[in-house]
Amino acid sequence: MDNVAAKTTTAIQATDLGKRYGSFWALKDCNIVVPRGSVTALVGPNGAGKTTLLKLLVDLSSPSAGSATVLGMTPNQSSGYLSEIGYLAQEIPLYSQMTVEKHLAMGAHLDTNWDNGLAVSRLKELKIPMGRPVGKLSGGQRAQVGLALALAKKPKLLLLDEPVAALDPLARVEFLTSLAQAATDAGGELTVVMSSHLLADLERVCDHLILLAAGETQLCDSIEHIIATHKLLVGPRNEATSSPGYSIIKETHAVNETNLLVRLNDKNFRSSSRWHVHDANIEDIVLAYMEQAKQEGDER
Amino acid sequence: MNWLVWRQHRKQFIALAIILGVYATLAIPIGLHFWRTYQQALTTCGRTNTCDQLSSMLFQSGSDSNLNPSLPGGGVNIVVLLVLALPFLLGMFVGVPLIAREYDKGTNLLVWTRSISRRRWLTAKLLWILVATAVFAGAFAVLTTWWSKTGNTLYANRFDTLKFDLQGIAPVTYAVFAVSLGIMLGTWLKRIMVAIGIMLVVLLALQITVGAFLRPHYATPLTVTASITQGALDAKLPSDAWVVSRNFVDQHGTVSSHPFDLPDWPPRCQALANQDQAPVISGHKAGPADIDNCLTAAGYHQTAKYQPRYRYWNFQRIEAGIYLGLTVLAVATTYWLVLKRDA
Repeated sequence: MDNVAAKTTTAIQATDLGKRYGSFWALKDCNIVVPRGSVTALVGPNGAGKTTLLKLLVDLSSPSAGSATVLGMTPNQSSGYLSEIGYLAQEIPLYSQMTVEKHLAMGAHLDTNWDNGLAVSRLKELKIPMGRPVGKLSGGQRAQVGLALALAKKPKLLLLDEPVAALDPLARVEFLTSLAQAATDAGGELTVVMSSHLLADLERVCDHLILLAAGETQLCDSIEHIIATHKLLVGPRNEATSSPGYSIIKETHAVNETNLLVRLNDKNFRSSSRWHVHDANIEDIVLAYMEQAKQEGDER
Repeated sequence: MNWLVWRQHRKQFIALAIILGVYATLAIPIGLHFWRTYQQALTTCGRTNTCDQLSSMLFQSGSDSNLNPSLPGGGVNIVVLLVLALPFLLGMFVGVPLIAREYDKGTNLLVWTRSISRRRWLTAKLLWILVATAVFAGAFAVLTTWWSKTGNTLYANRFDTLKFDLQGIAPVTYAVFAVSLGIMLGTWLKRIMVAIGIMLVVLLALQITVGAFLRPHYATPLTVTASITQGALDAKLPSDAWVVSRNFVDQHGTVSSHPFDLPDWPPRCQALANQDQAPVISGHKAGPADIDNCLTAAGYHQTAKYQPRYRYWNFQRIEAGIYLGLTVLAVATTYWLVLKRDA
C-alpha cells in the first residue's frame, strides 16, 4: 500500500466528505485535493468545520457522508496509518504533570519511527527546559513541544489545528519559523495542513489554501493560482457589473466608483477601458469569500 | 504502552500498596490476638464445661456477628465499614478518572494519534488497572478472611452480610466490577464528578439488590418443620445455617410469619389466648405453653427455610460469576465507546 501511496502525488483527497451531529452538518460536501509536499492553509470562520475536517483525516471521528483518502489509505486507527500522520490538536493537549523529557520518552515508547535526536535538538535549540512539567511552560513553549512530538514521529503528513491561535505575536512567528524550517528540511517528503483564522500568518509559510465557509469548500488551490485568477476591478458607478468573463465575489460602491472582487472565468479576460484591473492580495480574496458565504448563509 | 500506564498511574498503584500495608499491620495483630484468646478460652472451658457458651462469654457480646469493638486493639467495626466501602472508593478514585480525565484534558487526542492503535492503548490500560484491582482486592479479601477466622468459628452463619460481602472471592469481583463500571461511566459521560455520582448510586443499588433479593435464591432453600413449641424449630435448624424465612402454618395450610396473623384459630385456643378469660388448667392459669399445645393439637406447625453452611462457597462462586458477567459488559461497552465513538 505504501508503494501505491508513494507513487501518487496526492496527499489528501476528500470527496463529498461530510460530518453531521444530529441534524447539524458541521462539514458538508467537502471536496479537496492536497498535493504531496505542499504546505496548505486551512482557513475559514469559526464553526466552518476546520477542526471537524482534520479530525476526520486522522480518524478521531468518522464521516457521515463521502470519503477521504490520505496517503493512499482510508483514515483508520491502525498503527500503520497513525505512524504516517502527525497531528497536533487544538489547544495543544499535553500531560501537564509530565516533564518535556517524559513526553519525548512517551513518543519513544509509542511511536514506530520516533526520532529522539530530532526532538531533543529542536527543543534544546529553542531553550525549552527539558526537566520541567509541561504545565509550567509558556503557551509558546507548549506549542513547540507539541510540534516536536508531532515531527519526531517522522510523519508524511502533518495536521495542525489552530496551533498559533493562543500564542502572542512573537511566539507565533517563532512557531511558524520552526514549522517552515521543518517543511524545508523534509525536502518535499512532508505535507502540512494547518488550520487558522489568522490569514497574515499563513501567507508566511503556506503555498496552498483551502477555504471552508458555511460548512462547504469555497476554495482549494495553490495560493499563486488563486492570486492569478482573482482581480480587483475599479470602475464608474451605475454601470452594469456582470460579465461572462468573471464571477463577482464581492461588490462595493463608493460615491462615484464601484469596486468588484472577481474570479476570472476566462484567462484572457480584458476589461473595458473604463475599468481598471488591480491585483488582489490573498487576505482580501479570502475575506470576500467569507463575506459571500456569510451573506448566503444569512439569506438561507 | 506499559511504560505510559506505569507513568500515569504509579501514584495510584503506590497508594494501593500503602493502603494494603496499613490494613495488614492492623489486621494481622488483631487477628492473632482473637485467635489466641479463643484458643486459651477453649483450653479453660473444657474444665468448667462451658464451651457451649464460649461465643457469648469470650468477647462479652455474642449478640452480633461482629467481633466486639470494645476489645483491646478495637475499632474493628470501622475497619469493617472501610473494607465494605473499598469497591466504592476504588471505583471513584481508580475507575472513573482512568479515561474520563483524558477526555477532560483533551489528552486522548494526543495519545490516540501516536503510532499505537486505540485498541492496544485501551487493552493495556484496562489490563493493568483491572489486574491491579484484582490483586489488591484479593489480598484484602485474603487478609479479611484470615482475621475473621475466630469470628467465623464462633458465630457460625457465614452468610451474614458483614461476612459474605467481605470474605472469600465475591468481594474481589465487587472491586473489579466497581472499577470497570467507573471506567465505563467515566468514558461514556466524560465528566468525572457526574460519573462518580451515578456510579455510587448504581453500585449501591446493585449491592443491595443482589444481597437482599438474589442471594437467598442461588439455590432452593432447605425446609424444616417443627411443632409450635417454643424453641422446637431452632432445635431442628443447624446452628450454622442461614435462615431465609420462618413461618407458622395452620391446619388449612395458610402461612404467616406470626401465629396471631393466622385467620382461623380454633375457638378453644382462642379462649386460651384471651388473657382475661383464660381458664385454669390443672391448678395454674393457662400460659403460652398451653396455647402452643392447643395449636399443635389443632394441626398447626412451624416451618423454616434455610441455606446450609456447605453451600457457602457455591454461593460465593455464583455471586462472583454475576459480578464478573457484569464486568464483561462494562468492559465491552468501554471498548465500544472508545473505538467507535467520535473522540
